[in-house]
Amino acid sequence: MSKVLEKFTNNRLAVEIFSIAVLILAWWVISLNFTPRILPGPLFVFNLIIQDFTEGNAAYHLGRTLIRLLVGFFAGFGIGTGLGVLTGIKRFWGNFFGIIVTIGLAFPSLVWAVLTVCWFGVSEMVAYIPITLIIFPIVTVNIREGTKAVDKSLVDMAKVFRIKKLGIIRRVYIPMLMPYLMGTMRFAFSTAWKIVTVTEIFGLTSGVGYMLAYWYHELYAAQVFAWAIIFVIVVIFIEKFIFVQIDKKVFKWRPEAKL
Amino acid sequence: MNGGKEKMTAAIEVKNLTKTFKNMEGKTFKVLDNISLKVEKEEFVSVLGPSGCGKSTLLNTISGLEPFDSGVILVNGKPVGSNGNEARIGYVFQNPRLLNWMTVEKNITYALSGTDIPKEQWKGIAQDVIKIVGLRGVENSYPLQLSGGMQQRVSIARALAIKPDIILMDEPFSHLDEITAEKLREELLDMWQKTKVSILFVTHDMSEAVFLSDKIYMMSAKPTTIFMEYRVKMKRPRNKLDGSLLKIEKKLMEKFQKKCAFSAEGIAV
Repeated sequence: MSKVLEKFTNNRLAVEIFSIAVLILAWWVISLNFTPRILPGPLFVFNLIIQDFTEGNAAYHLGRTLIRLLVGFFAGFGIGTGLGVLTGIKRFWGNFFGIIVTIGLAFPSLVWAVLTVCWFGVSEMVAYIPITLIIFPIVTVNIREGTKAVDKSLVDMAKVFRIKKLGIIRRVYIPMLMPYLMGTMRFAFSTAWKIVTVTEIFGLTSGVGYMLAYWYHELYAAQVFAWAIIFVIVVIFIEKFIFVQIDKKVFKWRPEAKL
Repeated sequence: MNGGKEKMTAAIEVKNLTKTFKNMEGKTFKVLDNISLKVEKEEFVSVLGPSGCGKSTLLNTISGLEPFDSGVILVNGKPVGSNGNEARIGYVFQNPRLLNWMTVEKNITYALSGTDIPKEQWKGIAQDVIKIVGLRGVENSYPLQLSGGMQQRVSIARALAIKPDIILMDEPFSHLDEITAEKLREELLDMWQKTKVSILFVTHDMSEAVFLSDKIYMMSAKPTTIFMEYRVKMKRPRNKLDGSLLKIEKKLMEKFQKKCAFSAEGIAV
């Protein structure tokens, strides 16, 4: 018996499933004391989600949110990576953009959402611009640190062996930046999620955030729950099936890498 | 050659090399002071000196990584870094300096990508040098899966792969345990004899220098210059525990002590 138990406690997936089961069970027990409109049980919410997808247009709203997220994310990540490398290598640009980045980090994200609504009205820009502007300083700071931490002894090695500049960038610099890129990507992605829903609540007429706001105005907690859970499921899916897989591929040379 | 009379060009010839550094206060001081040395083709030459005497700087200068103030460095008879000097320099560093994200074989072919050796030959060459350093079977492993000794073998294989005019070695065994280091020293001599490569080896280990070298240059820390050249005339294969090797070591140690007490402190016996 203890052997079975040991096997279970060492199996990460099994423990994770167990943990979620406990959470759902607790939720169910608490929900027994309330009406479904205020605090619905798991099964009730599950049915609502199915209904939102089959009878409503949940897929459409989810799709809109994902597209906005990706556009803003790639713009912010691209700008941030470029600036991060530049500020890490060149001292002048480090100082020049350093202060701008600090201001960017301090700027309340909600302000961008409000301002873009004032400027553009109901437009996709209301999502793209805040995501980009909030993500890029975060990415810049992280990539700048990564660029500064480059192991110069490996670059010297490549130079001694007369490797051309492009070969050094591809095989030495980029792999050394990889841990920073991956870590930043995850953090930036989760930040982008939060921002996109906020902007949708404020200034857009579609997307997960818009639906959350819609059901909030109807004061229908069960649907708010349902949409929040749709959101969480997608985030977990992206984490487990995209980021973890990329990590495994990129860092397979690390013997201790167990994710 | 002209009637066979012309002397064979040396693998490396350094003449009156001087290099200065500026410290924080802007004061200049000499890190290399009028250094001259020569490594003939197929020769195993060591530079022996205490830590901090500028041995690594010497190798970095020869390899072109660091500039120098005056003097001449000829690799294969031509100045380093000059146009048309296709001299290939293999370098085995103190730490293996492998790219941990590439397999053993890829680490070796990466060095080949800096040469004009056609790509079709890379795999074959990599296989050959992997065999020479005794690493068959781990071609597709990643460096971090290997022990320190094996990583240093990969580093040696990488240096051999480019068919170098000279291999520079910077205390390559100093980070290894003594048993592994001893084994690698013996194997290094085998590889050297098999491949007929020229080696310039830097060390602070007296017995290592005497065991490996045809010729030893002794370097002091203050001033940072070569004060003596010694030719080890012992036949190979040598035995580390041989009395005459130990006698040579004793003699050289006395020279260091005479030169200056400070230099002798940093020499391991």
